[in-house]
Amino acid sequence: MRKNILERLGKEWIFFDGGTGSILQEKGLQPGELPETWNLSHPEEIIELHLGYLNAGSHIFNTNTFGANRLKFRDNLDEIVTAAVNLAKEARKRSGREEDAYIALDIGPTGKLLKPMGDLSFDDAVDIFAEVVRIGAREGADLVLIETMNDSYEAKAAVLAAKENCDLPVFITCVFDASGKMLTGGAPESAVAMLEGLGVDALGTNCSLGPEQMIPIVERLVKAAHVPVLVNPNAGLPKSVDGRTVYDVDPEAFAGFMKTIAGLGAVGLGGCCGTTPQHIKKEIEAVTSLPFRAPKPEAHTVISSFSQVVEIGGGAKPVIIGERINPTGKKRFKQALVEHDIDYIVDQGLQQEDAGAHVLDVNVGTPEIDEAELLDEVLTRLQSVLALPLQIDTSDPAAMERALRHYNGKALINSVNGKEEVMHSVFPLVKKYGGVIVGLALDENGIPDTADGRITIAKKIYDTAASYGIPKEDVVIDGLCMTISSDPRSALVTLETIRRIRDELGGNSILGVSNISFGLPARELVNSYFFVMALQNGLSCAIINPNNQAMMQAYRSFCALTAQDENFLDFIGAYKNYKTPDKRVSEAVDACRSRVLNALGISAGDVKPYDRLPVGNASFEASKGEFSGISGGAGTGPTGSSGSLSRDQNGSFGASGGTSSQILPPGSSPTGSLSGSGQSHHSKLMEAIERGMAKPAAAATKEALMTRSALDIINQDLVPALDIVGKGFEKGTLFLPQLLMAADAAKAAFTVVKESMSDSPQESKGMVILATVKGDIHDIGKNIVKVLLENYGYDVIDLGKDVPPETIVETALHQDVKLVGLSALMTTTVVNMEETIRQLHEKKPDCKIAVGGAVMTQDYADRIGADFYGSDAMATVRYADELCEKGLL
Amino acid sequence: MIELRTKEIYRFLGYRNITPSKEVDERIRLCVEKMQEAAAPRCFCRSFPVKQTAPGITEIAGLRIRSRNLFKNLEGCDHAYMFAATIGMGIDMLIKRSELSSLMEASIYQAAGAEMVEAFADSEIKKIRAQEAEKGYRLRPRYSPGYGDLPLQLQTDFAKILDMQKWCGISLTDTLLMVPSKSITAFIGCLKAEAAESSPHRDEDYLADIVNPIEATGLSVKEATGSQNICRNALPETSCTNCSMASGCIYRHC
Repeated sequence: MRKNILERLGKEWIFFDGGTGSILQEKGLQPGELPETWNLSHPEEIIELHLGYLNAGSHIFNTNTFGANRLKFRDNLDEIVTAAVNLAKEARKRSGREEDAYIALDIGPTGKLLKPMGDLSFDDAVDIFAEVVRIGAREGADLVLIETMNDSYEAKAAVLAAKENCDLPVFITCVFDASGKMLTGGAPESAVAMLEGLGVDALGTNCSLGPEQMIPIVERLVKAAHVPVLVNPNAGLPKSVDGRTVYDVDPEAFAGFMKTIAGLGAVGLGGCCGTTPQHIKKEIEAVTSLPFRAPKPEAHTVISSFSQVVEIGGGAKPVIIGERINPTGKKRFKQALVEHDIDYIVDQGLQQEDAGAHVLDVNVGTPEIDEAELLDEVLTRLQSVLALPLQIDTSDPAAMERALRHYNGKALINSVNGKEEVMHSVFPLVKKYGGVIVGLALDENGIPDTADGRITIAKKIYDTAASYGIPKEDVVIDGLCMTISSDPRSALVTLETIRRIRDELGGNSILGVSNISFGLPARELVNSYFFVMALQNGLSCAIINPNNQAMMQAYRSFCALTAQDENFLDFIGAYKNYKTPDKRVSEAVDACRSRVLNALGISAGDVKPYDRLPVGNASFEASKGEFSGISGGAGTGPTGSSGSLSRDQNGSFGASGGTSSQILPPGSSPTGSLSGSGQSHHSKLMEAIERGMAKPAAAATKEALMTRSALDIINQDLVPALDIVGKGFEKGTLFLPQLLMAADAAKAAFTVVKESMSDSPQESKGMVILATVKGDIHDIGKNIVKVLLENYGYDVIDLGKDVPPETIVETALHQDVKLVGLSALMTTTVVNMEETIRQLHEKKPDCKIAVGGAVMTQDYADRIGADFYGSDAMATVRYADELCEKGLL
Repeated sequence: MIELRTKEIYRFLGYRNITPSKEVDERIRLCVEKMQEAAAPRCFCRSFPVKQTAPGITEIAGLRIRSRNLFKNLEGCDHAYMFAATIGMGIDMLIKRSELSSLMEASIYQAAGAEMVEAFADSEIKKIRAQEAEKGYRLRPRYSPGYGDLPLQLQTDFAKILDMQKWCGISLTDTLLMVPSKSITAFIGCLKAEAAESSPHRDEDYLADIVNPIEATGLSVKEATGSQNICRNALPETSCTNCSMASGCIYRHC
């Protein structure tokens, strides 16, 4: 009777087979012919292929099903896979290896890339794999081998499909390039974290590289992995020689490298493309001369994103978890959730990453929304642009499961607690999808007010987790932070709990630090000091606002002081331009002073003669009335003329810097020189936009908002400035990037305006749909038009790229949109543009259609029935304005 | 590192003989720096005999392709490479992220990405050119599906024949677009040096003079870009009935 392969793997050398496609090509497989068709058309050749490896001594050999999925075999998938397993069985029988050879159901990539980079959805990928798994398991494969995975997300889909559809052991090998990266950025460590979380029985690497180039990757895999490591390299790199594909590592050399790899701790060894039974035979001879030695893995607490890992505890630096993606107490954030403004939420994530967060907490729980749906969407968006691991924060198990399923990595999960019911609903999810779970030290009886009570609950959480097969490393205990304003001893209890989690339980801890100061003034003082105390007591993860300087200062100082910041790189990087509080205060005062002056319409230099005025020594706290004597006093005698005189001189003061710096610090001199040109303050915002400076534009907008309405700023400053740039672009005196820089700056200004108007409904000139048509993914032009239209006050519904005609028509009908902008950059997609126009004209005749893109010309636009051809981005804006004026939008 | 030509980046950005500002140049430099770090260039090619059996008909790698532009491009060649190259997914990720924060950067990544994959493909083709020169062959300029009257449908054949996903990490969307987006597929014809020297044409002449399929073929867009211009399994020893296009194939008699 054959032993289960899992009883052998990790206890003795186990050998896999070698190349399939390369051998079938030798046997006459034509270029482009799918190898799996040979299961039906050339069964004897397939049996021969297997026999070659069985006779060479392979223990595990693969069915010829690498590319067998419904995308490639729509009609006869079942037949192909069934035949493959049966041919493998027949080969095993003929070789007399019934007792010790195992049939692996071979599963390769779908051939399509998953969203968001590709167009296959995660759920569809799971379905595609599931189908193959069910057939293979039914036909009697001994294990599932998922291989040649070059995208971690697709790997996850395949593993889930295998786990959900059979009870067979699941092995997986991924492809890393010479720099140790998967196609979509995954690293050996991040792949290991995720795949072990999903419960694979063995993992490793195959294909892509020759054995020699694989060595550094194998070292990293062995170091990170807790399950047996498999290595199946190519026989070197493929080269095309006289029309044939050849590989450059011969069996002898291959075996030598494989011996080295076995010595590193890999326990399952075989080959991939270009390797032959000869390679495997030599490999077996070489490796079996080594005594078998199984590596002894260390326990780590690790979470991951698609490309990064963050280690918790175990000597790693304390982990900062950004808390800002959370609607609690944030009006603007709630509004973004309700309005489905995912960009705003993602931007919160980007800001926290810049501020130094290692992990981001993601909480979107608010009334009025479908949490499961929104959490899924936000998480998917975040992981498409951010490489930080995420903490999935929800109390709704359905939302938690969906997020865990779609998370591309091993998540931190917030949270479970000591309540039986909660544990029994959350732990099965952690077990199935992997993750590190936060356990709150509270239970049915509430929050214990002693450390003893919390430690007892922590133990209960560990024990219950263990009963689900979740190791202690995958649990982090929240010692609970309660405000000292309601119980002065609460901080002490929390600190003791943290210390004992480390010392008595040997576990990792986490705290939502900011709660400690609730109800007190100067919260950041209490928070930052408490934070350091908690770190000193062994806190492993802190949920904080990384944008808060005091907190990050406390953190970086702590790390520098405790030898956790090598060469003080982090500390020096953050504070090399540090200013003392005194200096900051004086700068802030100066900045504030110049803001007030600006807001009052007085340019910096105007203050200078004020000292010399007869009214004398009034300070800057002087009332507005006294200032108005200077700025508004033209024609009122001596005072007025002195004011206007100084205004004329002001430019030279600003330029030379000298005397005026006594009144205004150097930092404010740009203000002086800008407004000194004789224009009023709104030119400052305009100039910032024209020059494409985003930060100054935002700052100038904030200033302007002190005295003017948002609408006034948009109409008097923003739009005119964009117009100047837009005209320059149209005339050909400006280069596209300059237009875009201006648009970026205007966008920054708009963000500020929007923030200020978050209470009032916003006016819009009209709604416009933009889309890159089906078949086309080139969307830069469309994006440019979008930002410009938004800048000019239009509401843009951006349907994205590769958009089917039906979606565009439906949206236009549903939202009653009167202008649709279509873009196509490839000649081949003009046909889809034509079809979209035809459908729109038929179903929504009052809707105008503007087209643009590199392949478009006025002539084409006319031929396919468009209403307008936009030769550049500004042209479309002008067209929209024209329609707007005629009242057609 | 892939050497990029700044002039080309400007061109992709819509350069109009205006000297870009220092700020623009600096932003381009920073973006290119990040791209060099994120790039993972890979390429793969296989060579096949070429036969041109009738005007406009080219046979290669089991395909019979009807295209006047390809016919001209490969005219006189006895073999040709099918070639694929990419600079990797990292560039798409940079584009995706910058779309959120800065349109300016997104457009620079797009432009510099286009230049980067062109430059990479050219540098790889240079190696092929050197190998072929040793054997007394010259290369024609590369020619890609989707240009002129060469059907974009051929992308599926490139994907299969070159096993593009495995060797380059390139996959196709349902709409035949390549992911990573900064990727190139092309035929590269090889002809005897003597034949090349006796040709009255310059290299540019072998590229489609009209890149738009509608004008190149005089057919409707649908017909011009459709797959009925490709016959798979066109090798004499294989039967036409296996071909996925068998039902609508204009070469069905074969």
